[in-house]
Amino acid sequence: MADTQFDVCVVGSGHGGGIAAYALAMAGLKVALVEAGPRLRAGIDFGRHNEPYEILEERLKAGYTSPIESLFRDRGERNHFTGVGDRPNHGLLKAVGGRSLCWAGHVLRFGPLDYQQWPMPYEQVAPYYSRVERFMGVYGHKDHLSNMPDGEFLKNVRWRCQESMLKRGVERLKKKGARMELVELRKAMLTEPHSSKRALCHFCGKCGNCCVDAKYTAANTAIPQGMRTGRLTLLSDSTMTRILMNADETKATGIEYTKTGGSTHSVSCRALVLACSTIETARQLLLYRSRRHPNGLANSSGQVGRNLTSHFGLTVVGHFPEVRGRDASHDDGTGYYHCLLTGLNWDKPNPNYEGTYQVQCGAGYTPNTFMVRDVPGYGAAFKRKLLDYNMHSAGMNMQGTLLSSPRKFIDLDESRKDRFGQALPRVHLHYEQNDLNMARDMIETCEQIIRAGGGEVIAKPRAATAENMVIDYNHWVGTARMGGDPKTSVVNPMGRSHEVKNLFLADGSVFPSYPEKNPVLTIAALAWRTSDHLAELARKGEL
Amino acid sequence: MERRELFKILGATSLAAPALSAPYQPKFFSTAEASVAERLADIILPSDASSPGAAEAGVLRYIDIVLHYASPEQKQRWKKGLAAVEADAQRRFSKPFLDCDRASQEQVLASMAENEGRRQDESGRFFEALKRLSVEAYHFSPANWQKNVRYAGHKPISEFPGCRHPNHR
Repeated sequence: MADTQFDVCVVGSGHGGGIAAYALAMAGLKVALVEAGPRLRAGIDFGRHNEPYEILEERLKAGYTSPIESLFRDRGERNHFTGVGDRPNHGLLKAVGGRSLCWAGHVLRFGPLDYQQWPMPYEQVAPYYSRVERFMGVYGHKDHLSNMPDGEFLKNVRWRCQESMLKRGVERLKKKGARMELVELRKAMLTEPHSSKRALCHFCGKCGNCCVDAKYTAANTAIPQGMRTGRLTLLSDSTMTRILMNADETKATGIEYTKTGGSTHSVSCRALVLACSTIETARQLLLYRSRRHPNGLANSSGQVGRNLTSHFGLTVVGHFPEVRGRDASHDDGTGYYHCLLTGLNWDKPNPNYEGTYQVQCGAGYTPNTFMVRDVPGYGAAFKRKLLDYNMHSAGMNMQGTLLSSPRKFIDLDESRKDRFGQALPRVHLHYEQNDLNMARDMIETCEQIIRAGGGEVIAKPRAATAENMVIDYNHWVGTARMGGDPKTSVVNPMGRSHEVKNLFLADGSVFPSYPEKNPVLTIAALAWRTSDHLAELARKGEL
Repeated sequence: MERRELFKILGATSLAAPALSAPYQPKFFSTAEASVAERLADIILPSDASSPGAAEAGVLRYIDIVLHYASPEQKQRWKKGLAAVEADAQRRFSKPFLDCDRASQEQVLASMAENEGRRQDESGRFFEALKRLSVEAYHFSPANWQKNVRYAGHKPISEFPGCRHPNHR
């Protein structure tokens, strides 16, 4: 009979759950890691060097709308949520490693200014950022920025000629007083030998599903290294169907799960860690209903599902005649984006809106037809123009924080059930005027940079309206925010539930506010910090 | 993973590329429609001294497969659009589109492309659909990558060179 007694049960094996399971096993605890999806192998189940024309039919047959649509989008769970309002979207990836399999690898520390709105200062998280960076293997360049601290970097990766033009534009605007910085992007990909023994990056540009595991995923580093301790058991193809509680419902005692084949099992644990991703974690808490917990588990504050936010963006493309004639034969690099425009509104808020944004900038010959969408005409001259635009342009992809508001939240859609008869989540999203104001500024700023760099703007949204903006469906955070006050927050600053003392959350749901930067590094750092705290409580017998 | 294994994967991929020499059997188009669509795409993206045109690049296969899996509305737009092209050729030149000389065929396309971006009639919308899919198919084609862009990606490199031009500052 399979072992069912564990110290800790971690549900979800993505960026948060993978690190948590590893850190807990390293701390000497016996850990079960429960994952709804199967194991997928890089280079075999995903990630081949295939071009769109080779995989076109295979992909269309599988229901994708284009051959370049992400291979992992909503794998096996299309229409997993009900959307209410302005085009919300939700990306789930049910597989060992979760969405760490398909992430772009961007690793940006949140800075001291960002932590001013959190219940702990940057300095408390900084050591965990360092640990995570060393553990993942992260390349970057030390830029000494005030609000995006440098990390433990491997050898950096340079940008391409078109991106140099953007840098020139930024430097010229800075001389006129603009407050912004263009720096090299930082990514969790190996440019030097690393303790994980993963392969080095070979710069093929297909990072979204890296075929050689040069990019960090929970599945290629955290989970196998955790299992090497002999204390981590991976239960894949196992969907959690119920949280089990003790008689007076003050503590979690385990979970019930169903295998893909249909059989039902359970595991017992002294502590439960949920890391199912922002929307799914909140949904699991809301699904628990009893007389003692009428609004869902750990939800007497009523904050579970609230404070939802994400990133949204727009794209502007500039064409730079000056770089004509450059050698484009090896443009792939570590994906389209090699640099980042940041430092906007850090020390001086914009008078027209709250919050800020960053801009991922990239170039290179990629399967992307956006920049030639609006080129008029046809014939030989049109064909030459397409080539010129493709080869000598740089794209600026903005990423701003949606204003947190009462109109952005998730709840349960009782009319739509999953295969276990449990309500699916409903994502409510409405753009605020603040979001539209920020979008307008994003477009103007990028246009200025392109022109200052000697280029012309060849593609941009027709207007800063909801129809032209895209919500990042992988960047949702904030449905179970942390805080010191149990009346206004779901977990304490260590990720521990105020109400159910052996329940911990280790994913983006705990973010109390959201800067413009990509969430993964912070999710991983907080998951490690929460796990250390949990292990400490276990040692003291306080679980 | 060992470098050796990586090269194995890369090698296998290049072998898996479709054989473009064999004539393609369309799934969505009739044989006549396929020839018309291919010619229209080739007028949008013709061959010139430096690179092959859409027909030589094999865009027909790509367009046909996309349409085979497309929505009923898209399918109907293409069927009707190609029929209208045929009717226009008959009206102007009293013969099938494919029997017209290239200059006459270009006139038929030119009338669809008039006022591009501002036209809301069916003929204008068909031109936009035709142009978009032709561009996408050509953009993704090996001929474009190899002979137009002269791109040599997917060869593993140990260090990314990046921009080293002192004048790109």
